[in-house]
Amino acid sequence: MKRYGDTACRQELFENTDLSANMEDYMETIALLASRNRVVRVRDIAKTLKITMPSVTAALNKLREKDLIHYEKYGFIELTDRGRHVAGLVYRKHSFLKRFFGEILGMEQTSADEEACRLEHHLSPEACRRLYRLVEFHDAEHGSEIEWTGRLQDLMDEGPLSELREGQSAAIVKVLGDSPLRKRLIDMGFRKGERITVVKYAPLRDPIELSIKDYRLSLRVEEARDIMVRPLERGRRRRRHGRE
Amino acid sequence: MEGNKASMKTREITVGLVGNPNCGKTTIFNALTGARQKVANWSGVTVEKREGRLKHGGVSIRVIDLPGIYSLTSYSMEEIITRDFIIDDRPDVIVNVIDAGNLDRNLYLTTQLINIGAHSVMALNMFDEAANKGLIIDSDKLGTLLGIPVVKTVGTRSIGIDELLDRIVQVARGTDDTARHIHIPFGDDVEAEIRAIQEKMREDEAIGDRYSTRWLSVRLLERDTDAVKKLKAFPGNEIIMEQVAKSRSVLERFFDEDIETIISDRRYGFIAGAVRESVKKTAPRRVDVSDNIDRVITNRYLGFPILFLFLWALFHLTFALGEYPMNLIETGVHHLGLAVERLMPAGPLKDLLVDGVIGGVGGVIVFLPNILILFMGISFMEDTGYMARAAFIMDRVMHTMGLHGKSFIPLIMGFGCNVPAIMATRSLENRQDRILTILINPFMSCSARLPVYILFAGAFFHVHAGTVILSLYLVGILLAFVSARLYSLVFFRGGSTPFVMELPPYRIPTIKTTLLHMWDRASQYLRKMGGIILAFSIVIWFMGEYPKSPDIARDYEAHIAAARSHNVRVIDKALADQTPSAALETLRGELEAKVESLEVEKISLEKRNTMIGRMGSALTPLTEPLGFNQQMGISLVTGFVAKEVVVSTMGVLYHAGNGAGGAQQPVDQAIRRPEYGITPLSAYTFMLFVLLYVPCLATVVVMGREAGWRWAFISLVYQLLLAWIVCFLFYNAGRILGF
Repeated sequence: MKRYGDTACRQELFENTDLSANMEDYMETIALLASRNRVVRVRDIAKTLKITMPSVTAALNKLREKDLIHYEKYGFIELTDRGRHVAGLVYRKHSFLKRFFGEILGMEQTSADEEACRLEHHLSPEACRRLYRLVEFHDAEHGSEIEWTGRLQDLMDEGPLSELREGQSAAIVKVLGDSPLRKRLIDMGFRKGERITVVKYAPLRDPIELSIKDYRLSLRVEEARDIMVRPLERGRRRRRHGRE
Repeated sequence: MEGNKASMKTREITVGLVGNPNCGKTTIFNALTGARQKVANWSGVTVEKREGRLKHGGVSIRVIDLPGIYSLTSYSMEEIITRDFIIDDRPDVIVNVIDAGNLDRNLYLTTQLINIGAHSVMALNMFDEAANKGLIIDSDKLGTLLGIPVVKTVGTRSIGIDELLDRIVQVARGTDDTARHIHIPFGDDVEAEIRAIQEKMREDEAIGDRYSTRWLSVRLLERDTDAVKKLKAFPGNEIIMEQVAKSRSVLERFFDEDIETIISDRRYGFIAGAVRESVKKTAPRRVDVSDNIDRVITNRYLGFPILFLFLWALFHLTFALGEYPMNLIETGVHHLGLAVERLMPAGPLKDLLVDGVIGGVGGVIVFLPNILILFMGISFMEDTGYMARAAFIMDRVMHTMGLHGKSFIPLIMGFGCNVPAIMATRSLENRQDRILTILINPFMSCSARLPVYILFAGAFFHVHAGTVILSLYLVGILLAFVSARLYSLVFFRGGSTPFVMELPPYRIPTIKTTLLHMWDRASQYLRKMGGIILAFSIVIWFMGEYPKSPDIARDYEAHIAAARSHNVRVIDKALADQTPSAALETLRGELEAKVESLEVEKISLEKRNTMIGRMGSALTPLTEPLGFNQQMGISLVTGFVAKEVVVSTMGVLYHAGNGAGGAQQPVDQAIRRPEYGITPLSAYTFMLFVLLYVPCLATVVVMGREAGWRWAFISLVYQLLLAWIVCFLFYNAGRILGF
């Protein structure tokens, strides 16, 4: 059995920063701006985080007290060595969490980013380490015969037919329940893998008009909840692009 | 089969038409039989059974149109009827009608027909539509693959019907080359289990004689309750059931799926193969217009306005346009009555004939124009495909009442007349939805109740009359909601039925289909309901006329004669006195009014003495707590025939009491006279009662015919109780509040 990332997985890479979530965000932003621009100004931070300049100044003063940044009034902001280390910790967490949500769980880029922002401040070092290993495992397995993430993502995308948008197509996964309705639907061609399209919702949002095989059918929303489908357009194809 | 070839020539061939809903089965049936059809119900259920006869090349053929179904399982009444017909009645040939544009799903039923071992001919219907879609179907190839002769047809234009008949006769005689029995392969694992079950069945030869063991095995595997019931009839079924249970668990564990899914999957797999080999897809010849039409018809913003506009038009057509022929019918009946009156000597027989029979017939056929026009509209809606769209739009609203989207149209029509409206519930496929829609239909305030509202609201509420009448309509709708909930709570505990409704492509209806549909409904109404309504109206007429009161008649006749001769004397005297002509006219008018009021008084007293009059009086203990006087009670009893009669009865009963005042007063003034004690409160209560109590005689009969007499009775009792309770509460609450 292969072993993954022995060096990268040292515990201290995921140690706690002892900073509040807010302060971590500041550190992350400063590091990001520093790598992008030559200099970092209060104005830039305020713009990125969408807060007022005075609040930024107040936060910067606190960070300076902790000896994480060099900052003079009206001057540029620079990270100290310790600051660089802390920002690195936060940034690393963010980036692999984003990949976890995006590439493994198959969420869209922007929402994966948001989820990562939210979660990065709250995970314990141990949980981080384990999730990091999962992302590494995924990288190592990618391209091999066993496309386990593909199957996993199919599973992740599965949902009731009633949650599709107008015009969206999906493949039927399963008709749940044990009702006469289920038997009727199976008889009418609701088999696994069959393509089904939500043509439209009625003016009062219920029932739904569906297109399956060569005919049109309407079902109530509550009935469509029992039909599990995997959307065809959204999701996989886009995620393939996201992988690059 | 070969042995009785000779006898086949002389015997009539029985043909059953089987197919999915919306596959054009009815058009094939109409093309085969034309107007030579009769409609009955399948024994014990209210599913229509259509039959027709025809001759083809010297062979007589009986065609039975079976209900439209998607599958031969036993989840619905329609499926059970079709399956039992195929198994028990053993028709010579099954014509499997297939929508060529929707092969996959339609062929599913075919695989089940093959499984059951039916001798089939396939009508590949609407192949022109499929061709427009770009589907080129090799019907010979398809026939060979399925072992069923396939004929391309277009039912609406009678294309392919002759060839279809040729093949029917060939298959019935066993001379068709294509027809052979094939097995739908279910895959090695399933087949092995089927064989295991068949093995156990062979131990009892009786099973094999009665059913196809393969079919029965598959059905048993599929947990078909009806198949289990059939098997239970044989001794030794335990061993077979044991094997079935074992096979099922083996398969389900192996495939990690339930058995129905496995088998249906195999069927669709077989179909996919057959379609792949016999159908070529090319570019569609024509753009599919259905989607474009739907973009407007079921549009989020336009959907409702279009539906209401359409219903408004249908309503007006039915009840406003229908009024002209209705008036004609009424005049015709009136003249007929006059003619008979002139020809016959006076006496009870003449009264019976003129007022009872002719009046009763008039009361029956007066609904015909409504029925014809309404069903023209409904046929149009169904044949074009708009009915399904209307249901699609309205379902959200109707579902809150526990009803189906299609209930909407019969309910709206109820505002015109409940009789055709209840007949219109036939569009609802599901029995429970249908009965519920029928039961609450009388709460839709029909136009016959309007004269009562106009009379009382006009007399007691003056400028607010419009608001009062509107409030009654709203109360009716509200109580329809409440009653629907109540009925489904008590009788239909199973919850609402699923809304699996196909939205067929828009099609242009044919005049033939529409006319047949109209004719069908009209003749059914006349044959099935007309007689009963007529009989009942004669009975009620009799109760309204008898017993006669000879003493009263004699007394009043004498009074009237005396008054008349007195009048003549007074006038003569006035003439002699050379009174100015204007004054003379006034005098004459006054005198005549006196005579007239005497006559009305006579009729009123006679009326009170008849059976209905006595019933009305006897019901006083029940009507008094609602604030009704005796006249109101009597007119409610007569109102059972038809609600319009309430007003005319009131006219008779109230004119009478006004002798002292000289000139006659119209009813609306008469009922306001203080001595009758009608207050606005009791007037409103009365209107409420008219809204809620028994619908008219014709409605009850139609209910009995369409839903069953048990339901008609339940509805009758329920409505009487509801009317009384609601009115009692309303009247007494009103009194406590000081109205």
